[in-house]
Amino acid sequence: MNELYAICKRNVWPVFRDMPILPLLIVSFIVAIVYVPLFFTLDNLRNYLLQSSDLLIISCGLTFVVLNGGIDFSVTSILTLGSVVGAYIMALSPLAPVPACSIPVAIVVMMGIGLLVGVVNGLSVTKLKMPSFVATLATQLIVLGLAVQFTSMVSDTSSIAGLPEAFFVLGGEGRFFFVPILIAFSVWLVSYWLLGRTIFGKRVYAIGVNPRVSFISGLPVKRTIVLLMVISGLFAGVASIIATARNQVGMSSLGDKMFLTTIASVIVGGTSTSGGLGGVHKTLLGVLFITLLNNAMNLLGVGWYTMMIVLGVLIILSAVSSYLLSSRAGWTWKRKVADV
Amino acid sequence: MREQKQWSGEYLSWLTRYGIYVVLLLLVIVFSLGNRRFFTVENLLLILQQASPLGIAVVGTVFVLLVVGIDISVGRSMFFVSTLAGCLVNTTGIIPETYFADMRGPALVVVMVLLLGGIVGWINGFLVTRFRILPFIVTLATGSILRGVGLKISGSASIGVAVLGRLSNGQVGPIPNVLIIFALVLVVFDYVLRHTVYGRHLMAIGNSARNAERAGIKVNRNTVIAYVICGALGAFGGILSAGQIGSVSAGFGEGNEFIVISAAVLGGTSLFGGKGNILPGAVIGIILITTIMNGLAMMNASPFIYTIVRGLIIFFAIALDSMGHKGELR
Amino acid sequence: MSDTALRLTDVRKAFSGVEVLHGLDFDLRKGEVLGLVGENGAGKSSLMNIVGGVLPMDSGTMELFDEPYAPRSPSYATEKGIAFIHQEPNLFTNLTVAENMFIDGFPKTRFGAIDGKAIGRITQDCIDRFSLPVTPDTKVEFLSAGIRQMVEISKALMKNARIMIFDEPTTSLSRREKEGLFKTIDELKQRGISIVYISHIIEDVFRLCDRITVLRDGLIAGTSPVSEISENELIKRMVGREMTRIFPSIEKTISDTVLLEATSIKWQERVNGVSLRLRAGEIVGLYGLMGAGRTELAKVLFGVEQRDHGELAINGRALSHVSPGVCIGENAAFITEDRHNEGLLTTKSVDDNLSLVKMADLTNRVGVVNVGERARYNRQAIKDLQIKVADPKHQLANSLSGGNQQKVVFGKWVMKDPKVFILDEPTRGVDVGAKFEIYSIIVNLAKRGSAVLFISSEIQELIGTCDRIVVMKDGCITGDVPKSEFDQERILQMALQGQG
Repeated sequence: MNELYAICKRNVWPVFRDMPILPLLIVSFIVAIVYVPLFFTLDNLRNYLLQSSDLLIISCGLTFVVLNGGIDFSVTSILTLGSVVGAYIMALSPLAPVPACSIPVAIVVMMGIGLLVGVVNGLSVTKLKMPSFVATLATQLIVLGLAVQFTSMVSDTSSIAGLPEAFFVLGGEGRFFFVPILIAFSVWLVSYWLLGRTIFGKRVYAIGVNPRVSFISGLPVKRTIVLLMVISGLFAGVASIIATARNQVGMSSLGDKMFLTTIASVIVGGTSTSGGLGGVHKTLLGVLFITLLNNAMNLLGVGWYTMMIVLGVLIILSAVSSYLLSSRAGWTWKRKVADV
Repeated sequence: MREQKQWSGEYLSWLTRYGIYVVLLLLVIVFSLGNRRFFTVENLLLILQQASPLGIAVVGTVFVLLVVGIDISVGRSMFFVSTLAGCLVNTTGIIPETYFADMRGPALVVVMVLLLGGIVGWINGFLVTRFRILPFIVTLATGSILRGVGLKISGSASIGVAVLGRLSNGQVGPIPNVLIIFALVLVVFDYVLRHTVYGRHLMAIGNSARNAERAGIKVNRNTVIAYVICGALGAFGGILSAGQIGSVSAGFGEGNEFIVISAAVLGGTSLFGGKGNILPGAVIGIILITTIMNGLAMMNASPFIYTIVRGLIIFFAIALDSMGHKGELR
Repeated sequence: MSDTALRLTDVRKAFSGVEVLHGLDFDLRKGEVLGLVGENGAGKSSLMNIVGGVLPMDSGTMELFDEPYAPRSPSYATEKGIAFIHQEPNLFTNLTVAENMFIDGFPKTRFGAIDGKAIGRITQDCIDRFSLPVTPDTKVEFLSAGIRQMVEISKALMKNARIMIFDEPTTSLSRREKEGLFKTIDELKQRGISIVYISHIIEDVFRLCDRITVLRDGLIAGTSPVSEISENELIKRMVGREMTRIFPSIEKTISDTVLLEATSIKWQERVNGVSLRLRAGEIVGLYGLMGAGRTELAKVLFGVEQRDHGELAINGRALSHVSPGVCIGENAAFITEDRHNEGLLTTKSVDDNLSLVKMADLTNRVGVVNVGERARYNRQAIKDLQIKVADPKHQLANSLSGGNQQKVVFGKWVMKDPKVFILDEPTRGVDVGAKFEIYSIIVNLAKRGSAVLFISSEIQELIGTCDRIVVMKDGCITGDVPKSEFDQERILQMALQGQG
């Protein structure tokens, strides 16, 4: 028995210390199962997994950027713009009557939008030397404005309905409920592989820790930054496909609440905003945790307003604890009051 | 090769210093052509009246930007503080009705608001300095918390603050009250920035926090004070703006921080610290942006253009600022 | 009351286990100008940092005007009347001259604001005293480095310093500014201020100082009145050490193949027309004092900075645009001076650091890093360089000793089997045992046919390992000494005085 304890301590404890989100997640699950009515039902669990899916995709993309020490505010606007443009293509454009045609085109366009915005973001940071938080703040507003403008031009309401049924498969309609979950998991797997196994991933981490050392060691710093902005945008585009399919309409209010949950998932998951630390394995846990919170709170009748407060508090707590833990580990972070 | 760089450097610095006046002039011309009612005393005063509350918030933002900080919770802080103040006044009678017959009522509300805003600012400053968290993360989080709390208090209903109408919409002769208040704030805080020890210390911190520390300047304490000023002035601007509208709706204040930051940057304050301009910078910045918004409205631009234009403004303002600065790419 | 202003007794100081000051006895007399000379790394900066309260000493005592003196911080030292004029002035570029002067003590008016008139007046006095071409309202960012220094000096004077320490003050001054500085120092002396003047410009030291103290390898190598020593004797004292260090034996051939050829390289004002040739199998030392432009040259050669003028060819291939990536592609490597900020990812594991450069070679077409290969290369590097690390996969780079950290930096470059190796102070902050190991690494690289540019401030190690030593001063090459003519004094002379 003692032996078992020792083995546990040696193998399990470091994992818990490195990812404090894990025990938090487990405990929350248990609490939810016990105290939240209707949580542990098949229906709800299915919902839960579906909700996590698009959040996971978009958070994975954001993780790349945060690992580099930056941020991407535009991801949720990409979601919105993709949603309305895609819906338009599938419901109102000349291609609409031919779903076999309109759906693939819409998918390509939605991803393309993400790609394009990502390129703009990346170039703003590398060529114009703008800090990422401002560049993406600006693109967020511009893209959002475009989305709302576009919607008002093609529809009387703030949503575009009439999408082909075949498209809903991607959203987990009926017996295809596993589709978005599968897609999300694949995206996560790809991210994990990219960050953990490829040279690109290694570069992202290195540049996140110290761009100067990376530059002198021959790493293509600017190119990598543009690439990770593109990934962030692209993943947002993919998420918009799934979210639109799930909601079955194109909505100009789609991305509204999402940014907070996305950044919370990444930060609470454990990826550090100073760069170089963390990864999508942590983001996955963060996503699961935040979605759990969301789901449970919904079931308990707690509104979005409270959720906003909770998320804000969680973000601060994560940042504070990350600072306290790092001071103890004896790292030297030489920073001014703010190094963005 | 060095001479060429120097030349383009000078050109660029001329552009950044005087370019904004040129742009303002161009805009006035364009808008005047677009709508004859634009270039009237009435409309121009209207622009100034619209610009003043946010202008007060811009002044506060300059202080935070000076020390390489940022506060993106300004808009939501405005919402929270105004909502709270509105509720307190309406429901608890903390200030007797009679006080609103003259200026005593609004004055007390302003005091309350300054206090609340200052506390919010203090929390932001504390988290940034004590725990070394990136300011935009801190203020993003506090912004959400404030908005959530505000919505819970108001229940997403609009809170009537018409009682402040006399303050916000009143005039002294032909000059709007808010313009006078804005002018006062400008003069006072420009003086603080240029002629007090605190102002000079802030500039030093923004230039090199390390050297400032060595010179014996209390970097953390001064930074927190900057956030307090930003919070207080932001809240002040917010309540004045709410008074102008007459009520605090659920969407009040959303996105104001970007207008405020853009105005500060356009006016010559740098995101990267150490460079700040209240007079005439903050004034020109907020007037420019308000002019754009006013002009767009006059030309019956579709409402969504606003968001796009706001984004473009931030983009160009910051791009100009960034191109002149040397630093790490993030 | 004695006439000693400052006395240090048996002061010792070590950094990360490496002792740099070995029990110094030092004294400064009242009203004198004492010159302090020594090579880079002799310990001058450490000594003055201790006096100025920037660093604590490990053991020993200090007395300031016969009273015990143990500064806890720079402001304490300033209060006690010690002013430190650094090479790099601590001025705020976005503030005016007057504001900088009073930044830590603004006089205030009745209302609590800054008394602009008062600071303007006092600043104008200082400006007049030194005939500076500025007004109190000039922003420091528009001032040249020389004038900024004068402002800093004025500031120190204003604080009633009793002892002033000048650290290489004339590096960025024009001739006229220099004369102004000397006049000032003479005046200060009249006023009874005691001055320590650190400089490597021997003529200046002789002109200004009453006595000269030589610091060598962390010990005082003698103090003499200026009248009793000549320049040559001074130089001898600066380097007059026994060549006690052991170096690895070098048996190798230098081929004729030129691996790196640089012609008339110019960069800003720090590199002024340098031409250099490195041949395969050759270890070329690059010596110079601080400010000579060696590191700048290295950065330009490796593409970290872009040269303004000149040609560069590696492996016979002319390179118009250079970047670290390009150089690495041409099998060149660069170990920087500052391993904490430019050499190592301090918060990443040793493994991650080791494979940083080689990574690209270990990936297949899809971009996947071959984990097995990577591990193999890392193990090999750790073994070859004898890096002492218990768990390279998890241990962070900054948990290693200085010597081992440097070996990790070596390891990451050596893995690429570079043919051109630029090393900037590779043994800085490294203990004696590790130094020998590093010399062996360097020699082995040359044995295998690489060309090595060995930049160092320690003449000894250059003499012990190099085939020839190139000397730089003020961005130019002032000498190229072949092995047969190695002589410490001569090399130092070239660095100090620029004779060929």
